Parts: sequence; structure tokens; C-alpha cells
Amino acid sequence: MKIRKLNDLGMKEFEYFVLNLRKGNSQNTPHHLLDAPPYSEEVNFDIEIEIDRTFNSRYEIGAYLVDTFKNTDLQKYLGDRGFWTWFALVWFDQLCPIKNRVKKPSMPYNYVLSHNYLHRPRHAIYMTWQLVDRYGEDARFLLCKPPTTRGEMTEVLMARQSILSSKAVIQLASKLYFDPSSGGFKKGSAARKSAGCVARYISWIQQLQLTFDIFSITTDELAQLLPAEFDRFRTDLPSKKLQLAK
Amino acid sequence: MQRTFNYTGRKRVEQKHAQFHFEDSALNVPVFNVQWNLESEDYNPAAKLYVEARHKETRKRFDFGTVGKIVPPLDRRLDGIDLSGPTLFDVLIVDESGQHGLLVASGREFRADGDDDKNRTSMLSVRKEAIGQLTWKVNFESGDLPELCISNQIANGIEKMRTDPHFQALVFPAALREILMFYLWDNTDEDDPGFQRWMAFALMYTDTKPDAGDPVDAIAWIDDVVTGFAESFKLTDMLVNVDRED
Repeated sequence: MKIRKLNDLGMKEFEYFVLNLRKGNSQNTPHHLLDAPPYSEEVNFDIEIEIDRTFNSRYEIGAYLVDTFKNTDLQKYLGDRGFWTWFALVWFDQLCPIKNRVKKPSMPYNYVLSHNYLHRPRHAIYMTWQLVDRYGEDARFLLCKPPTTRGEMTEVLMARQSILSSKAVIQLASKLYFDPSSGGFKKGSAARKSAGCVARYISWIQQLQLTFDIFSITTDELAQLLPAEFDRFRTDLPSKKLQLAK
Repeated sequence: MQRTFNYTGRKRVEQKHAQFHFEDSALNVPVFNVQWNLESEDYNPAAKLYVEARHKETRKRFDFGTVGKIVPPLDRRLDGIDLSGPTLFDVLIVDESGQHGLLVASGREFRADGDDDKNRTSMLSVRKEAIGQLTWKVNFESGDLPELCISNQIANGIEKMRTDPHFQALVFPAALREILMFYLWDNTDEDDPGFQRWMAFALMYTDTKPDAGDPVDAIAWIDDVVTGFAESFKLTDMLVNVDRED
């Protein structure tokens, strides 16, 4: 299907559909909005996407979009609500959690890109594309779950825009929290308060930002500054306690 | 008395030290430059000087050389930045002589001259934007109060909006209607400061409160407010009188 963007009416209809499902009503996904002129409009490039393509993770969605747009100037569509929402509608059936064979979508802003800057990091497609476009393979750890699963860790990180600008911060987080053998997070990563969890990592980075330029710092340099509380996640990094002992 | 402790010793870069402006450009994306007026004696001349441009989730860093030898990068296009709202600029001065880049000074959230009236206490700031053949629009996507965007093709557009009765009489009532519809339909969070300020403003022109759950009543209420607003400023008289004087 040729890529288009939803207009205001299309987004309203899509949001209404999501809210309707959340109320427990059953309804077919309104795929007709995708190419019907009252609900969607053309974009200024001519690219086709595979609407029936199946993805095993959100990372695969991001990688597919990055590859699709590799020769396209997306400047005009950065932050464009209708553009990114269109893709969420295309793959809605893959993004929507299902319980007991019934679709149970999360909040509408996970699918319809919000005006509200607090909700924007929760959009299933725009944020996924951004992470993969910016960090490539290093973003895999944030997006390794099935498409239906919203990553708490991803959203926590994405909500801190200044952190996103630092490749070192993302790469180190990947080294700390991603378990390549399981293809998922290490146990305890997404905890809220325990030592070395992602929430603690963000607090530490925010403290570090007061003193250091985290944009120009390298991943190795950042790892050297990492406090000992993160030792339990430093499986391929030297333990801080050992370093101090030496 | 409130006291502030600055344990980091980091200095503050103020707007007077870095005046941002946009250059005339035939490109699709704006090009910025900076008129620097740093107090150079306060810094190591070898300290690096960076500018970060950002809006919402998008961010880009520009290397301006060192404090002792400022060299603007050749490419100062804001491509890759979401241009649907005002671009904010951060300035960072970084001592990279040590192992880790030490943040020596910073200034945050500067805006380019002419990009905004800078008065964020105002309920409706006005700024120029490339909006094609639209003459104006209200932008709700800044995450803050609504903004009135004037086409950047209109010469002295911001000044005209402030002083020209033609602009004011024709644009303001329509903009007010759009803003009230936004707060009654799209952003009904009563704790939102924008919601509270605009509802308080609206209640200056009508005695009743809107019933957001009843679209017919809400439309009628908005009509009352806009009519009261136009009456209060005698917008038609103002327009007619100016035309007579001309």
C-alpha cells in the first residue's frame, strides 16, 4: 500500500475506535481510513509498504521503517501526528494486546500521536522509528519485546529528551540491561527502586549532567564513572568494586 | 530568604551572551546563526563551545569551535529538527582537557530573534512559521500554552498582529474560537494551567460555564464568548474606522 497520512478526521475516527475497544465493544479495525480521502491524504513521496508484514518485535518495525525511508527526506513529517498515526493504524492488529481473544488496546496516545509532550514518548511507531533511526542496533534492547508490549524501560528513557541525545548513555544502558542470550532484559532491570535498576540509572545520569557533557563523553568513559551499585548488571564490564580494590 | 547553592561552580550563559537569529535562506529548512558576546575572560580559551537546537523529541548539536576561537559550522541548517513549533537553543561550554568533558557553563532554552515574542507570561505568544499558503494557524503542540503562528512570508507579520487592526479584527476572534474548542474537546484536563487560564479569560465575556459533555451547548457557549470578546474590543468599529481614515 502507498504511504499516506491520516487527517484530523481520520485521527478522530481511529481514536474513537480505540476508545470503543477499551470500553469492551468489539469492532473491526477501520483499515478503510488508510486510503479513503475523507480520512487520509497523500504525502509528498511515493513509497509503498507491506501492510501484511509480520513483526516479531518493535525493533523489527523500527528497522523496517528506517530501511523504507533510507532515501527519503522526512523533514516535513517529523512530529507530524497524522503521518505516524497512519502507521499505527496499518499495524494496529499487531500492536494491540489481546486477552482471551479480545483486543484490549492501551491508551489512545499509544496509537494516535498526542499533542501532549508527556504522552508523545508513548507512541508505538514514532518513538520506535526514532530510536532505531538514531541508534540502530543499540536500540534493540529497548525494543526487543513483541510489538504488543509497551516497554516501560523505553518510555522511562524516552521521556528524558536530553538523555536521548547521548549515544553513550544509550549504549551503556544496552550493555548493562540487555541479555543477548535471552533476547530480553536482565532480571531486575525494570525495577523501580532497587540498586542499579533503570530508574536509578536515569537518576544517576541526571546528576551527572550537572557536571559533565554527556553528549561528548564516550561509552567507555561513562562506564568508568558508573557507581558500584550497578555492578550486578556489569556482566561484560569490569566490576567497579574490583577496580577500586586494585 | 531563599538561597541557592552552586556546588558545581558552573556559570550561566544568558541570552545577552548569545543572540540567536535565523538567516534568509532559500532552503526548505531554516538556517540559524549566533551573535556571540561571551565574557571570554571567564573561560579557558580552549574550552569547547556547542549549541544544541531542539524541539520536542528532536535535537541536534552544532560545534562552534572554542571560546577563544569561535568558528560557526558551515552547516547550520535545522534539518532533522521537528519544525512544527519553536526551536529552542541550548549553549554549552565544555572543558575537554581532562578525561571527561566537564561542563563549565550553560544556558538553556534561548529562542531566535523574531521567532517569538518571548513573553511566555502572555496567554498567546505570536511567532513566524513556514505554513505554506496558510496565513495563520494556532499551534497547540508546544506542550505549553497555544501559540499564534503567522506565515513567515508576511513581512513584519508579528508586528502587524500586534498593531494592525485588520489583522487583529479578522484573526483574533477565529483564533479564540479555535482555542476554546481545543480546550473543550481535545484537552479537557482541568488541572492544565492553559485550560485554567483560557477558561478564566473566557468567563470574562460570559456569565455561564460550558457543558463540555453537550456539543450543542458548548458551541453556543463559545459563540457567546467570542461575541462578548468582539463587543468588548469593538472589533468591527475598529476595522471600519481604520478603513475610513485610510
